Amino acid sequence: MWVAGEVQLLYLICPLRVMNRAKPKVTFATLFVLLAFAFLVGVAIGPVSIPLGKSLLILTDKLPLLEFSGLPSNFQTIIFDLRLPRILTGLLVGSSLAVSGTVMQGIFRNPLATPYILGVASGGSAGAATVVVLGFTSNFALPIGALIGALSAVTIVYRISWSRGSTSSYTLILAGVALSSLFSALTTALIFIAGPYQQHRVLFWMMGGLWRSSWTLFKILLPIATVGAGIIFAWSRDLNALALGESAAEHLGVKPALVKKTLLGLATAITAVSVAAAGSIGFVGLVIPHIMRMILGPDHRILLPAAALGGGVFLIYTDVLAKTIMQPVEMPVGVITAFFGAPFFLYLLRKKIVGGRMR
Amino acid sequence: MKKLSSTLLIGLILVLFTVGLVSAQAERTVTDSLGREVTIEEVPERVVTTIVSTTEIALDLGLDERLVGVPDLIQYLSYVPELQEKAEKKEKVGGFKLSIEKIASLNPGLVILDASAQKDMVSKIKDIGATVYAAGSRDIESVRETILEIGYLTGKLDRAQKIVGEMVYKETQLRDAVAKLDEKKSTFYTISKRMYTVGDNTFVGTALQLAGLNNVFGEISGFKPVNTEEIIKKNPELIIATEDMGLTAEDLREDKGLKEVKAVQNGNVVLLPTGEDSMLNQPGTKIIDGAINLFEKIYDTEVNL
Repeated sequence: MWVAGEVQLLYLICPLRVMNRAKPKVTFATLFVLLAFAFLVGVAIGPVSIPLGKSLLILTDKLPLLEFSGLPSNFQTIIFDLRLPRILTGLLVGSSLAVSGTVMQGIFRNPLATPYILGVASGGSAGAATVVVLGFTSNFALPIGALIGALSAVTIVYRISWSRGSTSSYTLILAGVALSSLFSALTTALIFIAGPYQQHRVLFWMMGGLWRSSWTLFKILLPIATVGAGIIFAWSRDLNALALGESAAEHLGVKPALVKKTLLGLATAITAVSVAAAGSIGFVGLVIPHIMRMILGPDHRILLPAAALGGGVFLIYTDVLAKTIMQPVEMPVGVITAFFGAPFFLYLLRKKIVGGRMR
Repeated sequence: MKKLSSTLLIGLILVLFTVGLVSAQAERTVTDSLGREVTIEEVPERVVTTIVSTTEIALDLGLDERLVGVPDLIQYLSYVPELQEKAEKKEKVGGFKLSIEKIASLNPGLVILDASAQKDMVSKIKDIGATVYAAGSRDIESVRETILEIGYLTGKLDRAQKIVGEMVYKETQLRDAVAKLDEKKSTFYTISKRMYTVGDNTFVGTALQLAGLNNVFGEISGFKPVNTEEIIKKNPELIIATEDMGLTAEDLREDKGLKEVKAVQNGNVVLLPTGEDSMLNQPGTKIIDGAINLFEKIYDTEVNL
């Protein structure tokens, strides 16, 4: 059967009983160090070279009770209004995508599941394209259009798949795939009828990236991403039970339908907000959960927070590269995430297989 | 400057001479922008254009009666309203995907394609039995050639020579005016909130240079997005933005990063309305007028015409 085969594949990648897996404490310590370092790198490195010492001075400058140090005001703008909100937005978007990917892979027990599997990204694109073609041009029109599109896509998927309070993962994935195609076709049709400049706007948006970051955007993103991820973390034990299969979960006193509904809803919500803020950025939500699962094993109580940290850190580093690798032009960050994510993932996969820990 | 203008004039005479020589024969042959030999036995009675700039050229040559097909997005011809009005009445043959069937149904003798964007359509259009001419849009010179060659193929060479003659004259006068500037303004040209800008190798890039502006991102190739920090680093004196994609002057003035840029601090942000922007974008007969308009707007000096 299809599902059985997929489950086997998932366990091939993440054996349930790996004895010598990394210690969570060491991994978390490493991730926090990487995060701290990502902040330093993100603040200090950019198209305009500002020495690290000065960057730190500027950061501490904003703290209360410290005197203004007389640094050029454009350095302050660059660090405070351009780099810092971008790092923080990257952290939230990367974390949301990785957490959402982990949830999707866990619930569908399918290693190919991504945050976008239920049509969030294609719904977002269609929403953004609609807004552009209708001629809305205000700053928040595009993200709001994308959010509405993303949420309507998954609502339709749920409405179609759910009957009498439950659904099979199979139906959900199929409905998601079919609706994604429909929304992609709609986006293509909209691009087709749009004027040339409108086409550009839709295409820029679809490429994805953190260039839209600002304090305002961060403030909108922060509560949704943290509350969403927080509730997901709290349900990680139920997700573990669900990973054993629905009937097994029921024996453990978990209500599969409720867990699925709640977790998918939350994962979708944080993905939709990320998509609205940064377009669809590939690979983070697919690869980071796998990498963390290879390192830490499949226990979602550890895996989910690790994926959150890993996704955030990964997106911050890749975005620094996107900004600097082809100066003065800025690369779409999705190109960089795929470029580094895919080979690293293949390397880990190879190591696991050669290591002979699973058959 | 004298030297430059005479070079231009000599060049023009040479082109006209060559074209004139060939026109003595009944059959007309030109080499188009793809290097193809285009031969026409008799003046085509039905002409189709597939991009806005060649539509403009054809109408300006006086081919209104014979022009039977135009591209969908004819609204970008708004910079010459009387020509736009004429074009709106014609059959539309498609946008960035052309409808071969539609073109075939118009039974054209000559189809004018764009050499860079519609190269792959050449053989398909030839299959329906029409003669294909590929118009150049690389730089001003290729536009001048295109105007003369279309004029020649359609039997409107006199009008084409007059148009090109005026273009050369105006360009010379503009170059003289630019040469008199104390300093060229360093300029950031953007088409969207994403800070997409253009390199010198684009048609708009050429028009900016012609208008006496130094593009701070001249070295990039084509249309690309840049990071706001890069703009702060280049610190341009002037920002030119196009309103077509919903960009407003407010957006630029209130951008956290751009407020560190000289242009915004000194209020030197120019928002080009769609028509004026198309004039710079469209490789047609109005490109020099577009550049002159921009020059006069920015430097507050009149070009001596």
